[in-house]
Amino acid sequence: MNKDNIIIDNKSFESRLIMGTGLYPNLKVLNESLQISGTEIVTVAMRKVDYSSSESFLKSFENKYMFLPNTAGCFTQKEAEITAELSREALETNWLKLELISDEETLLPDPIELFNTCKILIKKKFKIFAYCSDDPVLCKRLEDIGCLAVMPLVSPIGSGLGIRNEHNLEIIRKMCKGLVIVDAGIGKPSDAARVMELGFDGVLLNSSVARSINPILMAEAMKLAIISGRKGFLSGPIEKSKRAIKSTTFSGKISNF
Amino acid sequence: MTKIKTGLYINGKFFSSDVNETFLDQVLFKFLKTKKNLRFAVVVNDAFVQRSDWKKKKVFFNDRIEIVFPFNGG
Repeated sequence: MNKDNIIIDNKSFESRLIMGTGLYPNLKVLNESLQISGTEIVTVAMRKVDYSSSESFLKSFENKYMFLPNTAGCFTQKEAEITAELSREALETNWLKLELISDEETLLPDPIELFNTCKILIKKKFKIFAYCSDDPVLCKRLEDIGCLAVMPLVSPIGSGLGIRNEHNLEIIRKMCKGLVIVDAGIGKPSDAARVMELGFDGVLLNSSVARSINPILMAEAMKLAIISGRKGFLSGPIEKSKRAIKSTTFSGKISNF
Repeated sequence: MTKIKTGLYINGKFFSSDVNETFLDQVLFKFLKTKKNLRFAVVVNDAFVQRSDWKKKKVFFNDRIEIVFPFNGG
């Protein structure tokens, strides 16, 4: 059987689902959700918390997953740069999900601040997963300057609105030849399946699982949706037609009466 | 005469101290009360300080130290 692993930074992963670790009701539900989702990469934030809270958080799943630190809540280049350095030191990884948001109301990414900060952090040897808007030109530019992965949203963070502009997503997939992982806005498993059908390399999600009534069940649903969407993409769906095309030949049937 | 309260700010809270200056690693061990190999990183007065510099990094009265840990996030 052919393995359809995703290769990120020369590392091979079976799962195309990256899971956020925020908003879960407790550590037990978080851990069970991560486990059933099959994810191999989880995002973490850097926060001023009591060390025992951090220790129990990390201890509960350390060594099971790769960490992808984020810069959640950063508005400026300076904030993001410092947060990047902090995460590299604490988690011993150059990976960074770079989030630079424009305002607290929409939480939309600030494309200008993001682009400039990406250039600086890439020079500092960070491997950037750039969380960005679903603008094909921006995605291409981020890819061109050397981001490890481009991560367009499908709708605002935590909104669960699903895909708002499928046409843009199609153009992004066409323009970007490298890793494109959809991040933010996924609401239902069908959203995740759809982006995978469009040929995206993976999905990062958090709220849609953590805030669901049954996060563990939803985590499994997301896993299956991503596998399903991926297989659908790889298998080459039929072209749409404006007229019916019969699937059973008319020849050999009984005569028309 | 009012005695001026001296000390450091750690994660936004003021901690009084009679020492004029000290080294960052001493402050961290005193504050965290553990020598366990914890995953954390430090900012002093809005500048990141590498772990390898903690022993030689001097901190002074009213310096702002921020200690951050990995935590839940999406």
